[in-house]
Amino acid sequence: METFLLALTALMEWHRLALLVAGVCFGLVIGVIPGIGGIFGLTLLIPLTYSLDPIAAFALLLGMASVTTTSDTIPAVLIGVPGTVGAAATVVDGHQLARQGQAARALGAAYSASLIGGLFGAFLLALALPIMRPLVLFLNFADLFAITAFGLTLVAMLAGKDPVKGLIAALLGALIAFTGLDPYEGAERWTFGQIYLWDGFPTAIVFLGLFAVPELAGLIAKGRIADVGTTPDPKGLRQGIGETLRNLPLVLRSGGLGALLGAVPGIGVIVIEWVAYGDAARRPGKGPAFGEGNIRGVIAPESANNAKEGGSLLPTLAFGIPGSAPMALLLGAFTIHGLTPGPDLLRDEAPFVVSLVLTIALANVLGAVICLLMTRQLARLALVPATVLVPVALAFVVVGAFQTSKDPRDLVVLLVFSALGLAMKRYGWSRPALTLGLVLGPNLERFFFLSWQISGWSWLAQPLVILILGASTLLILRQVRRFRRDSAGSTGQSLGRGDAALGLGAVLVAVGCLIACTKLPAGAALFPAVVALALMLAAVPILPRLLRHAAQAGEGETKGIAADARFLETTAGLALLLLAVGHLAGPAIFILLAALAHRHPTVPRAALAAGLVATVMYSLFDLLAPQSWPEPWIWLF
Amino acid sequence: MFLRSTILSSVFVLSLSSLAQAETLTIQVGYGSGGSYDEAARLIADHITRHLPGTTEVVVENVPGAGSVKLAKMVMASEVTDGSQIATVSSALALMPIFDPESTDFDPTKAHYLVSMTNSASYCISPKAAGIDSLDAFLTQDFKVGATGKDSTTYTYPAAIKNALGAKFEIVTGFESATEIDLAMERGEIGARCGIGLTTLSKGDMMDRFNVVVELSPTPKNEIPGVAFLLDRVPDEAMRKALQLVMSSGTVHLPFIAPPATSDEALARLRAAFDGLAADPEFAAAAERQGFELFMTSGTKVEAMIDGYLASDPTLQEAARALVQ
Repeated sequence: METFLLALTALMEWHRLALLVAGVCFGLVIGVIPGIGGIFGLTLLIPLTYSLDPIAAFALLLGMASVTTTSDTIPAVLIGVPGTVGAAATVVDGHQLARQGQAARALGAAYSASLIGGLFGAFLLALALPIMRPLVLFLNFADLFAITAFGLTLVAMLAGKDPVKGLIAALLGALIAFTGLDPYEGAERWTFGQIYLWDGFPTAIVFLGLFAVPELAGLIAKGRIADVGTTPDPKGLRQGIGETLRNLPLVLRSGGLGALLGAVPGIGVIVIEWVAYGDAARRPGKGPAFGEGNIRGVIAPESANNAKEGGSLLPTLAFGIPGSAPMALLLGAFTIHGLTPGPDLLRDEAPFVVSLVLTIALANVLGAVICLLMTRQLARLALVPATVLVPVALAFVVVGAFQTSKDPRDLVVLLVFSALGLAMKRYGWSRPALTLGLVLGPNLERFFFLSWQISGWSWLAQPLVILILGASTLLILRQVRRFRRDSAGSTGQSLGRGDAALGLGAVLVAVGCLIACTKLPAGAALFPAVVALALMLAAVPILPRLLRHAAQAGEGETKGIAADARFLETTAGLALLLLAVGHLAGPAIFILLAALAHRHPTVPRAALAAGLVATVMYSLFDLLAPQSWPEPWIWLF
Repeated sequence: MFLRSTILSSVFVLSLSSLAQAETLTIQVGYGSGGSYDEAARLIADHITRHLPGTTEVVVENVPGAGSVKLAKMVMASEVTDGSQIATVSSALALMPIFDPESTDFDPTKAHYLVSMTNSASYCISPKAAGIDSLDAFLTQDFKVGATGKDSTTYTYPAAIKNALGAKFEIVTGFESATEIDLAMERGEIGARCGIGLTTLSKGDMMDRFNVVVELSPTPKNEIPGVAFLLDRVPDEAMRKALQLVMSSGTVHLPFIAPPATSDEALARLRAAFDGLAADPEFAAAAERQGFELFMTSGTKVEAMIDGYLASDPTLQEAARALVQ
């Protein structure tokens, strides 16, 4: 108690509190802007902490890092664009709610879930401190393999209305994720000779393509976020908070999951939020199905991704082993401030360690309160015409993707996955299922080979592994039975040529991968070959249907495809402008051109928007965190 | 109205664009944030402007991918001549023509080396609980050594030891990072890891938790008292030389390079800046605060060393290649 009071008193000194607030505000801004996240903020802030005392320094750093996953909900819910990779799952139901005029309800639920999740994560961290070493060492690679396999069973929950299509999407996601050097043999798998792909596709860009661009395309077609005829519900905010409180067991379960998985190095926030989302989908409760605006689909990932921060501090504090890239940066900051992580740190610097817990807790409270205060105003965005919102949002999406490595191929990846995302959305192929395959497939392979190399097959006899794999098998059997029951007598739904093209395309990709596997070493080929075969087998029941429907266009299909193609062309145009005239003038010109094309907003207003966007880009990418942008093509002439 | 608004916004945006073209040095890092290469680049970024007249700003940019080969390839293709772009890539790439002669991704004889920040030895470590507390135990006991990719020193060093001295350990590949191997060692799943530098070893309580079992470098450094030097155990001269070649990239560790296109004038300016940095007490103090073991080697010397390694006897190179398989 004395240590707690000492830490609290130290943190409450005005200059430290001011730094905490500054960190929180900065973190909230970082979270809102697509394509950048906590790492960006930390690299920017760490040099500023050199002259600060450790408690003040970490109030600033952790204050920032703790809340990016609170504010990333804002673009996720309102415009369907995940602010950071940690908000992709929130898009699925959160944006649906905004479209139904319930943005305030979704945001209220998200912030309150973030708050409780973040506090719960900090509480668990505090409880774990005295036993942090054994706790971090609790799970070995075999357990992680079993947990990942269990996570994959969630595909059934995320598969949408057509489980077979969901399964194919998940397997396709895994095949995509196998791109790059394999972890066991170091062999190249479908990299097409591009070093760019040696580490696989950049996840942040893939997510922007799969989720952000299709949602923005939908928004421009619709006219505005909220459906016509809906009005913002003034009681929505309170209702959202109330729903979080009524779903407290879910909030705590997701928070616990986030903190536990956050403590395992190698399991990132992407895995955590999708596993929490899938777990929540097991019990959808009352209301619409998952994916159609179920509030529990917002609450679970938001609680988990904020609780993760407490968990991910554990390996860093216990062993000086960073569990993630942001933690590696924080570890560097520990060294700069002369602190040595380990049990001695807890003994010698107890008030400092407790101040870290308090910083996470306070930052979550501050972040949620600030966001809640802004909710009513933000929810009004749902009524703003799409012709105003979409060009600005698209500018941030494209610049956010490009700033990942400033390689024109970033933009190609964005366009390819945007096309895939648009097609999947149009034809009812589950993007969450594809995402789960994408994030869990490679982990399953890596943990399998590590377990097998370390202990042969004996790891299969570990009690926890038997328990988790057994539970996974039971779940799969239950899902298969339910699927058979639900689909008895149903011929499935086909939506036209595009639907058939997607299904057949996935099968062709699988065949291509299988052929490529014949040239790979056995270790590198094993998992992709199994996944490709599984995809081909899964497609067998729907192939006749797909082939039948390939001959005829679905209702309104041609028009829909044309609209998607136009939006994709627009995105490509913005990408070209970005390369041609740079990251400031490119988006600005795009916004002006978009206003002229749509005859809305008025030119002065569009010019104002263009200026504001350029100012934000300049402040972030040139003033605060200067980047070496490639020379615009225009200067080359 | 339309004309006025468009002109005003254009002027505003263009003025921002011109502001963004300040005198900037970009240091690209071939790895993600948080590792030793990233820390070294950021340390240099904090101090180099004092030695580069006219440069007002230093930007550190992470270009991770393929163990820094991605960035190395970009550097080879770079057309920047004015010295405004430099990079730090894996020291092992200096020996790419020896260990991966088929590859054309990086040519160390064409890139301009500016400095190597350290030449300290590399080590193999084992958790205290594993009971591997000497080189004898390391060479004779059955256990697992953790490694990331087959190109990294976490694999090549133990592979060379195993092949040269018939050690019994097995190498487990596929770890995502060296820190993941450390955690597996704490759990007792893995018995050792190799390729760890003095800077990392000196951080935290690493020395208390791990036995440092062997020093790996072409010549003995004796940085940690009582640690056996590997080459003392290799009686065969040819094998000794092959092992020396395998471990020679450690002598040019944490290198900084400029693109081949860099002009002579810009190259001289950059090398002078790094020479100035090597003698800068403020820089040395900051490095010490951050736990860096600095042993700065000038760019010209680094290039001479690399030329020497690459000009070694082809039979020796073949033997070295066979050792790391």
